[in-house]
Amino acid sequence: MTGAISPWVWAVAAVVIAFLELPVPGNYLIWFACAAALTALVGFAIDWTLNAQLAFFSAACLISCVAGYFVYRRLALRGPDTDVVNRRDLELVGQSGLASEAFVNGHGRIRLNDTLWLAEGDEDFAAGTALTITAVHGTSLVVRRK
Amino acid sequence: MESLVFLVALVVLVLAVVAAGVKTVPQGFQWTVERFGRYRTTLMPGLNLIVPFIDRIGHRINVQETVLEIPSQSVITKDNASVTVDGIVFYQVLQAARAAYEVQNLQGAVENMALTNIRTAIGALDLDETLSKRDEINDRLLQVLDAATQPWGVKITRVELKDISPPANVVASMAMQLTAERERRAAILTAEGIKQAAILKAEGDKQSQILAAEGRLAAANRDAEARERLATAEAEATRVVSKAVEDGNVQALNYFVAQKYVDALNQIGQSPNSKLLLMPMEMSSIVSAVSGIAELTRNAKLGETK
Repeated sequence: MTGAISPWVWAVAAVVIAFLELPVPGNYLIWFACAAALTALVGFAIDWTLNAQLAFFSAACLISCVAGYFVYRRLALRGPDTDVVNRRDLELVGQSGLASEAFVNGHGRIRLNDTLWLAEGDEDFAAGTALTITAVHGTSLVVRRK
Repeated sequence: MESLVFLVALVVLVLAVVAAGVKTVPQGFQWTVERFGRYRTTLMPGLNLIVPFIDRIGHRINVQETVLEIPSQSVITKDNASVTVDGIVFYQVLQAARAAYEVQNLQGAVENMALTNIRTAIGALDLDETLSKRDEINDRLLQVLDAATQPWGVKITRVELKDISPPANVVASMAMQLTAERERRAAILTAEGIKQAAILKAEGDKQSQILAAEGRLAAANRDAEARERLATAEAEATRVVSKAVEDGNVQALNYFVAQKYVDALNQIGQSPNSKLLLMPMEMSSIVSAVSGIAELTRNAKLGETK
């Protein structure tokens, strides 16, 4: 077929793009490589025009990237203990500490891990009361009596 | 040909769309997404998709705990001493969106807030308090900064004053004060040692004298007892002799007296240094004693005869 790109060119392109995935963080070049590889495979099987190749490659790129998104998502959800890293709000829930001062109108401070946190509760606590963190609102902890 | 150009453009567009729509956020960061310039959501670490052309990345916020050096500054204490202070602040962004849009230049804002609050905290204290109450200052700064940065979604986890340097002349005075204080304590300790030693020695002397006096008292008591016993024994002996005389002959007394006289003369005579022999003044007493003895002898013979 005149003007058509050889399947080998698509294959080489797939390999080159796959290599580019290594130094370039993005997690999507590999799906372009998959699309190129798929185009090469189809090119070996059938004789088609350049236009058809380009159209197929474009569609394959979109489909493989969407498929890749779902694959990554599933892997990310399966990852252990990654949720609480850099997420103090998640990490602190369930921990206990002492009220460092008397709460006024439900607001005060609680000492946790050698630092003080602003806290709010549904009642006023005396200084030194043991409290448990039930949730985190922004930079303020929601606490209740332990 | 046109179709070829279109398809090439399509390929490029697809690549651009995918590149714009797929976002990989590295761990430790959160990215804000703006839709038509307005904040929409925050992308968490990992793979994310946004809508190309409509959404774009706003701010890339570092949510790791960050160390912020507070530069050295000169601060006047309550008692007008000028000290140089620098510090360190640890903070962490808990709400990326607030940190991105509620404050411009978060790091600069935290730094300036720390600088001004350090001035305020130290300005309320004397130099000595500034140097000795560092923990309290850190605690107060932590509370103030934490409350102030709350609207920015930032948690100040720790504030530390790294160095508090008084001027050189104040440092020299403090060193002199320290030396004088040490010398004062050394002198006091020495004096206390001497005092304790004198007290212990006096107490030892007192105890010694008390024990000696008690010893003398005990000895005197024993002497008195001995004398009482002796007197009692002599009285008893006298009573026995008197009884014997009463029951017997009075001339028995003369026997004893004469025996004593003779013994005394004997002892005086045996003394190697005696050049003088004392004799009783009344020699007739000896004669009467001897005659008494003769009387005794005679009586004894009469008794045998009977």
